[in-house]
Amino acid sequence: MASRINVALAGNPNCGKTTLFNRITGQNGYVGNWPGVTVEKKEAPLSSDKDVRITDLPGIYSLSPYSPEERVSRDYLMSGEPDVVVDIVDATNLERNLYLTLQVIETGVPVVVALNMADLVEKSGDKIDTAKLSRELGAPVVMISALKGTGVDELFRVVRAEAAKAGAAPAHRFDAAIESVLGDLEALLPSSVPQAKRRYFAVKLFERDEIARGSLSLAAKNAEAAEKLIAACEADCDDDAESIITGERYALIAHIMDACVKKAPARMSTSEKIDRIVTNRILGLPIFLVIMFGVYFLATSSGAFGTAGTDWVNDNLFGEGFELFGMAFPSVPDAVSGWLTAAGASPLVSSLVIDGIVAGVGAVLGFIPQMVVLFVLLSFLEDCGYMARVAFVMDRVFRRFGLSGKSFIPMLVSTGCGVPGVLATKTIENEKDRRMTVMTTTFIPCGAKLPIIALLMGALAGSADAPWISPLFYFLGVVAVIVSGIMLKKTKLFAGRPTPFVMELPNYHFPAIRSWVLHVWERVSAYIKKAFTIIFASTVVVWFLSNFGTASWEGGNGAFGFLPAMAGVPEEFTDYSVLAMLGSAIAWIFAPLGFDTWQATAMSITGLVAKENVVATASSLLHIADGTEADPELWHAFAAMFPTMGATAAFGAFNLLCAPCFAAMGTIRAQMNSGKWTAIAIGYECAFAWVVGLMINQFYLLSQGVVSIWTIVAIVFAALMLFQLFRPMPKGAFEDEPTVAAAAA
Amino acid sequence: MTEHAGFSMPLSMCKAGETVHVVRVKGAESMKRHLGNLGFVEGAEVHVVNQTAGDIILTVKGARLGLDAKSAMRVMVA
Repeated sequence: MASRINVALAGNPNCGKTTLFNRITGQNGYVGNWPGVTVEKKEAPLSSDKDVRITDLPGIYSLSPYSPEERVSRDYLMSGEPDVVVDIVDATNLERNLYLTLQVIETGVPVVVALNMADLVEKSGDKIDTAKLSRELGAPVVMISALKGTGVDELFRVVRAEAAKAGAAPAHRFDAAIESVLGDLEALLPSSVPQAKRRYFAVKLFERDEIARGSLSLAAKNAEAAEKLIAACEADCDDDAESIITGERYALIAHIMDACVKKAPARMSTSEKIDRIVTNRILGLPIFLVIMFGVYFLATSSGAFGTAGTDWVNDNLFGEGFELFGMAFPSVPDAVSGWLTAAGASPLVSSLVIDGIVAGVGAVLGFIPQMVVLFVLLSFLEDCGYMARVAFVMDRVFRRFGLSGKSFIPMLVSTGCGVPGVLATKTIENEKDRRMTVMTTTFIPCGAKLPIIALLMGALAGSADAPWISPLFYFLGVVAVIVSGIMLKKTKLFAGRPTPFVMELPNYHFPAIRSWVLHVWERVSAYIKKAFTIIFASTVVVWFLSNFGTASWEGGNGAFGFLPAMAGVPEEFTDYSVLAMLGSAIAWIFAPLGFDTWQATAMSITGLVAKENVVATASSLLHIADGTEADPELWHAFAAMFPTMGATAAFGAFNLLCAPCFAAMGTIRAQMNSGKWTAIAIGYECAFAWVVGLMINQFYLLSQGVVSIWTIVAIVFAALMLFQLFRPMPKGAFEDEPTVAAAAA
Repeated sequence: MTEHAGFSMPLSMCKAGETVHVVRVKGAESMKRHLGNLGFVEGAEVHVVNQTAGDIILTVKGARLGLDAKSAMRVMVA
């Protein structure tokens, strides 16, 4: 019978689950969300046999129903859908991993244990007796290396054999006293519970697992009897029921470890030695700063690889054309315009394709080399295990303003692009921390904001390499994150007990090239996808807005249409475009910030679509042909738009802090998985940016002796922010833990 | 929760290189559960790798973990 087999992959975080999944499915996994929670679910057929469907469950430590990941995994295992569960066990971390294994076996679904990284264990001198382990667990054990692909065929041979079998109750047993209670509980279960699941429900009943109990519809009489049994056992053991079971599982694991593992004499591992240094109280931070400096130096400094690539793309591919192996190639815009002319395209189409699409998408593609270098380095630091230590070191710092150390990686990634940055928040388990990180991580200037910063540098300091302005805006981003963290933590939305920081620190290892490449690709492709979807669409929209309008100039006929093709059109036709009208209509919003010209407003609008658009819009609206952020002519025209330097800075601050581009907003929507939270995030970002812009402009004016009603508004906002920053945590936000002294007495 | 006889101290007070055993875990139910699942059960051996101002890196049940001072204070060891 060649029927379909559903196989679930379960395992701890970081046990090699995803590596195995990618290997056996050829990475054609469908990635989606489990309904209702922000947990990723991957599904794909086995590449060697389409009748085997693999579902990759989230990485978890236990099957309790207390985190979304655990709940999702448990629901799936109990749904009856999976025929076999492959439990992937990190052999270098056997004791911890077996805790989940025991629980998976308890579900009564046939289990195959895949002992991953067993080769590393052998190298360390430890010996695992798999035959014995299989006997102890009552489930087949197969040694595999997800990385090298060894043992995978054997694994699926065993999986097929197991799929033919019916599920069975687990064979492992706890302490006799607990077993007797579990036996009594089992007898109380309704007869509708199948044999294979009775043990599972007895244990869940004992643990007072509300969800499992709810699904049982236990008779009131039996529920009462069960509660009596549990309470009596708790009194006997002097512990709560859940801790009793946890303790029993670990006791059983200790016994299994004794029986099946021969440990080499302990010595201080290399990882431990490295940890002593990189998490050192004094050296930890400086080491991190040096490493980060190196990363950004390689990715963004002039002359380094990333920038060289970006320059090449901008200058040659989208500039003057290039030579390769002695052959001259035209640049993309030249080639495209050549094709268009040859095809006899109308000026309207040429304008759309060359000025709209090619210019817009090209501006984004130019960042790819820098992005690749940045993500190659960051992903290396993550995959080798160093970032987990950084999260640990930074936790102390981040805790002060209401974020967790785990918020740090998303922020680093956001320096490249906010889209993968927001995606990287998924490793933060605590929902409030995750939401706050999603809301604040795009304050960090991303690659696309750098041209805006360069333009501001030119406008404010008259030089593209004023060394202090660029760090100033990074500093602004970091301060925005910190200030927001502190302020938001004191609001009802985010108040709560600071989440404890508990994080597994994997052994240091050189990342597998395959997963490293995948990791980089995941991030770069998120960025490329953005270039060809959102940016593509947005450039068309921006092109339309700035090229279409009414002929309302002197002598114009008032008709609406494609401006450049109209009779008697003035050279500066964008002044009559739809964008100009839109800009004028909402310019009043920005008047208190000092920039109420429609051009500045229009730039901000196009910036909301994609920050890459801001400089391009500036150059087209200010009628500087091909103006780039390094063009002094554009600086002067740009600076002339604003009445004061304060207003210029306010414009910069608003555009760098307000809601990110459409692509990032879409990603925020996906991560928040809630329209309300998306609105809160984007609303907060825009409001915060507006207030900061207002304060910069008004306080600058104040320093020049100009006072208006807005000065007072700015002062009120500043006072409110200071109040929120420095007032103590509101009472009742969380009850405090009993003090150590009292408990230790 | 009964007091255990003998001397016990919070894990956050342990020095790098020390090996201790868990006596009990205090605190809110969710925290106890989480730490319990990670292997902080009565009698579990904990080896302290590094410690800075209460934040602690340790190995328990064969896995290496980073714990902040607040969490480490919940774990009483001897």
